[in-house]
Amino acid sequence: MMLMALQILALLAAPLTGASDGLPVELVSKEGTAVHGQLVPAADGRIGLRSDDFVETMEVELERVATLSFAEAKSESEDSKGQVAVRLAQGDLLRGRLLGLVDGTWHFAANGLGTLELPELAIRSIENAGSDALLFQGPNGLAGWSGQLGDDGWQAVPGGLVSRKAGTRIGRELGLDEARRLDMDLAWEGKPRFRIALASRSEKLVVKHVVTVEVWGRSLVAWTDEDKRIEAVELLEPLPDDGSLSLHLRTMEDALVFLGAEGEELGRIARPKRSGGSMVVMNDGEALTIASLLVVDGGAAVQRLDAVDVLGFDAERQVYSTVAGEVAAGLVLGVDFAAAVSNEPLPAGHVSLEYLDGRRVEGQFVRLGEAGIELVPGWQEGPVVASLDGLVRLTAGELKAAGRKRSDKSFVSTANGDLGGELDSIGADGSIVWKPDLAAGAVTLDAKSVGRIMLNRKSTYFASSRKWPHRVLLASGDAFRAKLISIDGKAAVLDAPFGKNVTIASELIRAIEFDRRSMARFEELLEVKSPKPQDFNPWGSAFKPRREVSDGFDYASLERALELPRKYKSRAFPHLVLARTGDFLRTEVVSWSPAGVRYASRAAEPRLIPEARVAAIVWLRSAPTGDETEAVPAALPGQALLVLGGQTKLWMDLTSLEGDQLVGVSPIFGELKIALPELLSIEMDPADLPISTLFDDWMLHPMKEPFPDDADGAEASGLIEVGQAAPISAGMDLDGEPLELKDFRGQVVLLDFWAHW
Amino acid sequence: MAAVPDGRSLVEDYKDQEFTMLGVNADQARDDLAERTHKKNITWRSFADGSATGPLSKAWGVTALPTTFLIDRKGIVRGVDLAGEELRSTIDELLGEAP
Repeated sequence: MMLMALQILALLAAPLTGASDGLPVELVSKEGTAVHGQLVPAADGRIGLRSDDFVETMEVELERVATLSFAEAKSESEDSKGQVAVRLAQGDLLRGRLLGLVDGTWHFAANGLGTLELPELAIRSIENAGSDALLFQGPNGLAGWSGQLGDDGWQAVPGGLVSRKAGTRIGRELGLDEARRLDMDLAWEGKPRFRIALASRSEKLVVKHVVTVEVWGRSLVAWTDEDKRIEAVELLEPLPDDGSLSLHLRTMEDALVFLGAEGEELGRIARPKRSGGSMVVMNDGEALTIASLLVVDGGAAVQRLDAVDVLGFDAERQVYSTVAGEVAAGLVLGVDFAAAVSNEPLPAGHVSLEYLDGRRVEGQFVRLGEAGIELVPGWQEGPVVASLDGLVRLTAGELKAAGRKRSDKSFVSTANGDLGGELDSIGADGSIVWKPDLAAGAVTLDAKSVGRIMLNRKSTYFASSRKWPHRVLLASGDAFRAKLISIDGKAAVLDAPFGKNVTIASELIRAIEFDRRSMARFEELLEVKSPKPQDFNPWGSAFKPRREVSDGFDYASLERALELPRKYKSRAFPHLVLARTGDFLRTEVVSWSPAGVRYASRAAEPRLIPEARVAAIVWLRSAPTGDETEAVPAALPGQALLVLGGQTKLWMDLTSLEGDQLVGVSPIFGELKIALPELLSIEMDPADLPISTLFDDWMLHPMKEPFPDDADGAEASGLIEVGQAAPISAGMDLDGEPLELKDFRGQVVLLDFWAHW
Repeated sequence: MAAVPDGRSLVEDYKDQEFTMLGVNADQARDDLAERTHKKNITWRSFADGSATGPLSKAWGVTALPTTFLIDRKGIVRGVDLAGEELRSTIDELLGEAP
């Protein structure tokens, strides 16, 4: 598809065997480029990527990479029995099998990394992943784990625990002020039953609580089973029937408290007094490492072996040996070493790998090869090769000079991502030639595959409201600043930055805006669903007042004005004149001059509204009559929407790029040249991108019945005509006093319908 | 903006006759400035109709502002959007009719 390749594949050491070999990934650069593609081998220190969309291959320096996400990470099917999770002081989390402890070095068959020799000091904890008990670290030194729960067992994931049972999840809120407090979000669907053990780890890991929670009927019932004693607590408030609930679980000094979504207390369990049972083994004073061994007894009670010097591990017999004797690994929840987790930010050149099963490996990036990612971890001298199996994400370290901000850059967007760079040229067939900044060369993009070109410039085009005091919105979706010369019933004549004395037929105009600020306020009041061009229907309406905005604006009257009953001859009122105050008048605009807007009235002379009071004139569409819709040139597929400053939007067929002049043909204005530096963005795919002018939606609602012909005349309930009796007219006057027309019977009355503007 | 720019003089001229000028105000909310302007220039009473499509506007079928109706002694509409001399002559004519 792409005509140019950035790198010649033959130069690479490892030739590709086929197009579908590479792992599908999404590469996000520090500057905001996000590209889907497939991994291919690349030189050291670089990531090779082949994108179907942008380029055949490109090599991206690691420094430019923010993240690399692996779309199809597969969980390793390896039997987890007998496996441990090893948490390293650097923050890495490895999984695998312990092979033994020799001279202070743990020999460890790490999943995806091969056999490692880990110095004891590098290890923070060893957690028994083979059992259903997973230790996790909570905030403020608190830790908790789930017990052996069968179908209700929990799995640790970044940020919390996930139950294997569908619909149950548990997360954690971090950043708590109070020490010794753990907030957990519990939410489930259906009938939950789960057990949570909570422990404090302020100095040593101390079990605080093991609790089983169930929903019974409308109550949340919790048990503790310390000392085999079961304690049931009914919640203070009944639970909702729908089976879903969000709860916070909080351990206080003296109680375990259940909180509702609003933080209200639902119930509490007084913290039971521990009745001993923990076994404290003193070390011999020469221990290299102080560790706690957490021993689970029969899946219920948890014992703590404090200050254990773990002397060894026998892989064959699966036992830990300590100065106090041997402990079967199957009974061990975990070994907690005193090593602290490093909170250092990832240095430049380093990457962090996250795996589907929670593994996390950090190190200095060497290369991405077919066997995996070669990196030098913090816990050993030489490199390791981290497997790509189960890899979810690669995050690269901070690079201070990460280049410009995204908002300063240009991007081309396709369905496969955003590629930073610069527009190079436009091909004769409308294709886009783009120079990506991640790699050398240029890439040719089929215009159909391009959704948008974001140029992110500071466009001043059309923005001068002094030079171009008016803004014109066309039925086609075009919008631009201009200077009105005249308006009459048939057309508007104006000067625009791209042409003098441009005549625009009245049926093309959707609105002329005189005052952006008051119009913007007006737009704010309205919830408008912008139709897409393919839905373009001048007679349809998605207009809906946003009623929650309470500012005294009379939405109902606006709706009524837009939905004139058929008894009104709507063609006599083709315009809506919006005043800067938010008032509006449905009328027919006869002309415009610098003095103001003249509109038809029943008086002999058209009336005048000074321009200073007008926010906009909106051209309302009248009834559909045959092929009239075709007179409005809607955007066509293949046309590009140019977005410039001053809220300017111009639809055109792009022709070429001459220097920095973008040349295109507008269906309305003919050939136009727009200076590239003035462009904010180019929307290339009208089918997917809404043309958003407010007034697309300012249509009359389609009538169920056709409008009556003029010959039908005004019906009795239309405008009161000469000869008719005055309708009953009663109400309040402006001072709030009752006022009735009938009180003036016998007098000649001039009834004057007026407003201040 | 009142429909009758010379409303004050009209009221003044006919003050001793059986002529009443009544307004129907379609403003939605009146700020103080508008209020003062109104009190200065519009000396006759007005219904507060609340909006351009208020109850009176609807009853009278008014969709464009300003609009005026001239109503005779019997409550029959005799003129719509009359202005200038035509308005004055019609008022004179209606005043001449028997109550």
